[in-house]
Amino acid sequence: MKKIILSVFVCLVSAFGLQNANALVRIDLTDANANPLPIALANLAGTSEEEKAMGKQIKDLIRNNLKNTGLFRPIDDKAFLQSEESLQKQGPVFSQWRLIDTQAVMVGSVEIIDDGSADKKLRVVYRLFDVYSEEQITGRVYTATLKFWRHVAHRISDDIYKSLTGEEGYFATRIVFIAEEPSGRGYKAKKLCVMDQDGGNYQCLTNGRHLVLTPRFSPTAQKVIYMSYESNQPRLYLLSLVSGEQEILGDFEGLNSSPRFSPDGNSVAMTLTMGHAGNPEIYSMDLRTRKLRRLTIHRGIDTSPSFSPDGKSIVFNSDRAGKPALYIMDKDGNNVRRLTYGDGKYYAPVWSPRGDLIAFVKQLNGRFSIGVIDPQGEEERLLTDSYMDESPSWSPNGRVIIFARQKGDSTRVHTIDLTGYNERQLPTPTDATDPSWSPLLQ
Amino acid sequence: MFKKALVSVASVMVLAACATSPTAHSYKNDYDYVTQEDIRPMVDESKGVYSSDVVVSDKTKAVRKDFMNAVGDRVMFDFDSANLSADAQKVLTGIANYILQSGEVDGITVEGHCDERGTREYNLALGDRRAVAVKRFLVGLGVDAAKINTISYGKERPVDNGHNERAWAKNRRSVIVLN
Repeated sequence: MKKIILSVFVCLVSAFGLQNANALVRIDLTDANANPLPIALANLAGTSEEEKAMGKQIKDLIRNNLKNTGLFRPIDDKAFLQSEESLQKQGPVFSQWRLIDTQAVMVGSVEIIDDGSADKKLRVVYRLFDVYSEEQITGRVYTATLKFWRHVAHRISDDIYKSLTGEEGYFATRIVFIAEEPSGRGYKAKKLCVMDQDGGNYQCLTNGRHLVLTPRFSPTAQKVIYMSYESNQPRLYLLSLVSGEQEILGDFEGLNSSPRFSPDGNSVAMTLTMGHAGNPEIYSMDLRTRKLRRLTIHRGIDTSPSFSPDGKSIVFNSDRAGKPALYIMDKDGNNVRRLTYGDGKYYAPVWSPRGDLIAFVKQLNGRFSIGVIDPQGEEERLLTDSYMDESPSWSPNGRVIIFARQKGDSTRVHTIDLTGYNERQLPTPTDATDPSWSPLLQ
Repeated sequence: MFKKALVSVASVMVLAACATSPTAHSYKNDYDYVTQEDIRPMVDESKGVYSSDVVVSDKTKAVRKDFMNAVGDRVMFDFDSANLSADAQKVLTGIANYILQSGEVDGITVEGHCDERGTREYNLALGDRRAVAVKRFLVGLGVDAAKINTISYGKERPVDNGHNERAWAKNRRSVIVLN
């Protein structure tokens, strides 16, 4: 079978200018009350109309990314005092940018190269300046196949985010989720779909004929593990996004659910009932040997495991003390201790990639919230409150949580910052549930 | 044991030919060097190895109808519970007697369902518990365990799409389907 490989590159040709550690411009990610940082993003200049249009497209995507974080306030182009021509000729005249109260300005250019190969190439140069210190904060050249322009724009967005916050961004990432459509059968048809974090490159991988649930990315984002009823039984499948091949993971009798990769990608934790029907227990499977290891031994429900980022511990959901609560155990199942003692019921824990917090779903007084708690069981905070919020998943930098919110008959995917602010609904063509955030793709 | 979901080569080729824009990317860790490649569209389930359509014969349809009319096909549960109420036990006793007396029942599937007031994975676990509670009760009354299959659908197959207590109560159920 002919494999379509477009080996194309986003080459970082050079990083010119050292990042200035003493730049005045800085965003404090922990300060929920901070004003968004004013930033000016000039259209990336081009010679041809095609290049100019691409320069604007890339700038608009970067602008949208930064604006959606709630941390930046992109200034309207109409307020710019320095013309695009002047910017190209002599670079930023900082006195003019200071007048419009921006703190940083991005300038750059786009070149589209037709080298005779099947796909045109794209070359983007950009520089970000501190308007007050008049120094370059960051600047880079990217080259790529033209059709991957969105990825280049996400990479530049990540550069800017990192240079101004000191932390990795989360723009060059994808979301795997379940799209819901009317089936005409009284319940919704569900499809396994992926898209960029901003809704771009939307693609569905199953056709909706079978019930599919709870997909998760592997740590390299090259595989997805999910649950499907395609054999008329709830089973787990490992799907390679690179080859398109999938395989059933085990095919154990009874319920097979709640799959999660370990941080090293070498094993998968899951919930099984084989040999103890009616008593869901957590197992881990070594993907190389396919050996199973039972981790929980309790007659209560044990499900929804999530590894700590160091791979040493697993947080999970259990009703062993009479109501659903969260517990932590060592990765081999030893040393089980209860994490949550608060009112209400706790579900669906997910360990932050930073390790410092665990996100969960809490049901209290007929409402559902997304919350966070530290691994010692302290500092519980609820970030949302609605009729039904569930399926939390972390951005790779541990600053944002994506989740599904049901409102009446419709469920959509939302994000919220760890500060509890900046809640947004993601653009999906149809209803969407079970979101899972990929690692940073770079 | 570890079956590969085989995708017919032909169908993949066709799909690949139709695919215009969808792309996924593969990325190396090296920050300076990133490759991206198109992937083939995923599993074409319409031509996949599994099929969910079970052809139901007229005879089976007739038996199912008679079963429904005679003893009913479902029992209800309290919130977050897999306990069988006195009412549920009465219904299941009727179902067990029907199965034992009828020569027409080769096997049954016991489905476990939940209302929408819980998270997806917890409800899948709860639905399993409900289905197994029903199976155990039927086995206790003499139904052959080997004839009973259980399956949890969690909150994925509501019979009432409302968002109120009445709808939730109807959805917290176990349904017995004659194979």
